[in-house]
Amino acid sequence: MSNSRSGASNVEPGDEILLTQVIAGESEALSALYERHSRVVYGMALRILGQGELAEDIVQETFWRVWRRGESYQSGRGQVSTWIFSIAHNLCIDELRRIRTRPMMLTTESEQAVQIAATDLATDAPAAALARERRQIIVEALAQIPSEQRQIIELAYFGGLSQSEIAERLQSPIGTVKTRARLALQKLRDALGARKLGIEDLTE
Amino acid sequence: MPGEHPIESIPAYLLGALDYVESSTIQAHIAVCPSCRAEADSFSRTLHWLPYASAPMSPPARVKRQLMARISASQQQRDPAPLIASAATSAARRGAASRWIAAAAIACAMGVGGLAIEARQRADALGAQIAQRDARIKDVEGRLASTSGALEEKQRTSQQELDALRSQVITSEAERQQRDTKIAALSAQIVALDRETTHNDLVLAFVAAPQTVSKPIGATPLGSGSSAQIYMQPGHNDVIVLMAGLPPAAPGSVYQLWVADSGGAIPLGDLVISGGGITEIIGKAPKPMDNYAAVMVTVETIGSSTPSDRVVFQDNL
Repeated sequence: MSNSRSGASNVEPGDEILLTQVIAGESEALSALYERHSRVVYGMALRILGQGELAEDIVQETFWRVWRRGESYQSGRGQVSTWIFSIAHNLCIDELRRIRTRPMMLTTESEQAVQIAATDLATDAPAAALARERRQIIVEALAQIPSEQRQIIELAYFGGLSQSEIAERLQSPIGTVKTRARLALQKLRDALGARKLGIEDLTE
Repeated sequence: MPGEHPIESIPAYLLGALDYVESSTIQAHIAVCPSCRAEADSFSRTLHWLPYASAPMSPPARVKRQLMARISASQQQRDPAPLIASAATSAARRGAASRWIAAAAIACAMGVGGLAIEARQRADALGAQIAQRDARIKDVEGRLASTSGALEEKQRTSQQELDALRSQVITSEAERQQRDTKIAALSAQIVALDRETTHNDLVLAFVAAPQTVSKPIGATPLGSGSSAQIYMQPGHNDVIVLMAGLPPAAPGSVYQLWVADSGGAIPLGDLVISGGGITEIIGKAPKPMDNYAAVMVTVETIGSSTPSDRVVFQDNL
């Protein structure tokens, strides 16, 4: 079970190779995927759930599912990291809806900024640097889309609200919410595309 | 693809803003509808970026330790060691086994937080089950309480009934004894009556016998309003005196029959207390009645041996 392949070369294997090794039962490969993506998962879980303990549980459960259900990843439909993040996001939303009776504790962007300054800037791991770089890109892209569209993404993706809950909160028809959600994703796609930065450029 | 394409709902689906049922419907549709899948996939790169919008942060080191311990434990469970092993590999395996034990121990010690998601889901389900069970237990307890209350009540009632029956039995026993006593008393009365009848028969036979002679005994002023008759048989010692119209003797006194010869008065026969109706005195003289010259009945204080002057009947024979 020794990682002879990575030992033979200094080039880090890609996510898809690591996932193949995970499916083959190599825990070192999972460890590598964890090192690469756990920061983003933890940051997202913290933002959605607002509690460190719950976010830690999400991280462990996410990578446990990667370990157990690696074969459910479909290579034609996006990257391994996208798949991992969607597992984590689904877990977060489920957890958030489960604890919905408690008051929501959405951490604001500025608080996040303080947190990142306090913790991860000290880390000089390549994966951490990459994550910070990507954060910069998405934050700028989000800033470019109209606020009422950005709000839909905030409430749905990070707030765990359903489209009917969003409609209720914004006092808008549900059709408007749907339209805004679609426009938001289209504008965001355009904004990210305008940066001429393919995902692949940043993956490895 | 037949039916409507849920194009409008795909962004909400991708953002996680649909409930479970809606989400499952869209997911199933996308799986079979190329155009909707294309729509969804057109946003996948965009969605890939969203998680980075939250400040990335390193999770505490314990999270990975717990995860790897969990994985290590699951691996060991997946690949059980073969039963027969060479000495060389068994030593290696012992090392692996002890590592696994250590990992399992770590998983046990720290895994509580790590398994928390699954544990919480299970805990929720278990909590609901426990609540249901609690409710059922309460229900059963309530029913048991009312049942046992009813049973106790029944027992009490039964006990009371039993007590009542017992006292009835006791009463019956007492009544039986009373009845027995009454019967005994009645028997005694019957015996007494028999005796009386026999006695009366004897009196009657004596009085009615052909050889019996009788004569009235004269009443004194004290015995006025009453009468007496003496019955005797010549050559015999027996004597009967029948008296009628006598008042009852005063308390402490009796009617006493006397016969007299030259030697003096001799008390004879029963002491008669009662009066009213016909009363008889039966006596047996020391000598045949032919030997006596006089007869009398006096009122006597009980126990006196000489006749008083309170004479009721007196006559010569």
